[in-house]
Amino acid sequence: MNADGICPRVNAQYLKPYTESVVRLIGRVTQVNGDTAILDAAGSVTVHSTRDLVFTEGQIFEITGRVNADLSVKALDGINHGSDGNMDNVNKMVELVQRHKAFYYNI
Amino acid sequence: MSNYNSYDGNSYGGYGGGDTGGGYMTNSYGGGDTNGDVKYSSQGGADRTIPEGKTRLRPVTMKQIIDATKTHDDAPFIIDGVEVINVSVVGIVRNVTHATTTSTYRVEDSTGMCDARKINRPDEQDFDRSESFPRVGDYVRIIGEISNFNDKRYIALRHMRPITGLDEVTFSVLEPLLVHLQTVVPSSLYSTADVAKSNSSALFTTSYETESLTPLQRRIFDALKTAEEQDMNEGAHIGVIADRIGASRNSVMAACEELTDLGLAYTTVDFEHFKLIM
Repeated sequence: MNADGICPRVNAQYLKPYTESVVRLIGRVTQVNGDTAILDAAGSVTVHSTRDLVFTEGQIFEITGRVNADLSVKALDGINHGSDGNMDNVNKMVELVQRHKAFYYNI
Repeated sequence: MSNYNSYDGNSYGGYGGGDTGGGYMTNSYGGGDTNGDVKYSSQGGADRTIPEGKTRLRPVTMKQIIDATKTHDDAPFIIDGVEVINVSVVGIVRNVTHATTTSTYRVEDSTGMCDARKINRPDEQDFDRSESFPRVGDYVRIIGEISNFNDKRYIALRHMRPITGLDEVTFSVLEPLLVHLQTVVPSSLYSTADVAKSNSSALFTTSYETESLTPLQRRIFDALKTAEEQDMNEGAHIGVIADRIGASRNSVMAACEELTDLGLAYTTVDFEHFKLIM
């Protein structure tokens, strides 16, 4: 994350414009392969873990990370929200944030 | 103005006072003795009169806190053309600094980062006296007062509590947007009645439509918003609108009908006079 704390909220549908930027992503872990996990966030996103971030299948994580050229995300930080929570609402929220980008972000 | 002085006295006095629970509610800035209303230019474009003395707790983003303006040093902060003193903001704690007299929590909500500072009082049981909260990485809701210290924006922290569960995170991202839209666009579009009778997606459909207007609809919308005819019962005639924005009468007529279909305008005395719904 930058010192100003700006990391736009995205899901799989909005990754492309943020290549090389730091974003905030909420998704449910569908698969764990070593230090890489696949998250469902309105589509699949491959997330490369940090050392102290342990992914568990079925749990929802909020990732702050950098978007790679292949649209995978290198996690810098992650918060485990547990398995409860409505991902449909999260994706609706991301859509609204993206539609009102100027309200949320100075970018 | 004497009110601004009383604002300083009350708010900071209340902060150090004993009653932390209700401290932010007792602020009497503005009081009832103002000699009139103050005009602010809102982000919505048109000037609008905001009555003073409306103290409320407003949900905001860090970006709104950082971007808040002041007309002069002693004046309250302004967000969307409205005075804001007490704010509620949700974010992740990124840094914690404990000093003898203050605790500082650097909190980030993806839109920006800001310090929340609390004065420690050794004789009081406080929300942050436990070892386990708040720590770096915690999701928290902060309630406090927007302040400046040494030209740096911070939140004078009154209360902080943990956020539990994803759904509250989702809600807390959208809450400031809803209040922002209720503040800057015609109230009828985002009234509480709408919230009650529609689900969240339908609620925001209207905003999609105001944002996805065609260029011509947008020009008409903007022209009508500031038009003096907006204050009259009959509204503006399409011929007048057409002249003003330099478009043909037929295209303006069609666009006005589309604005009506979108629920943004309505016809008045006949089908050629339009007014925006405010």
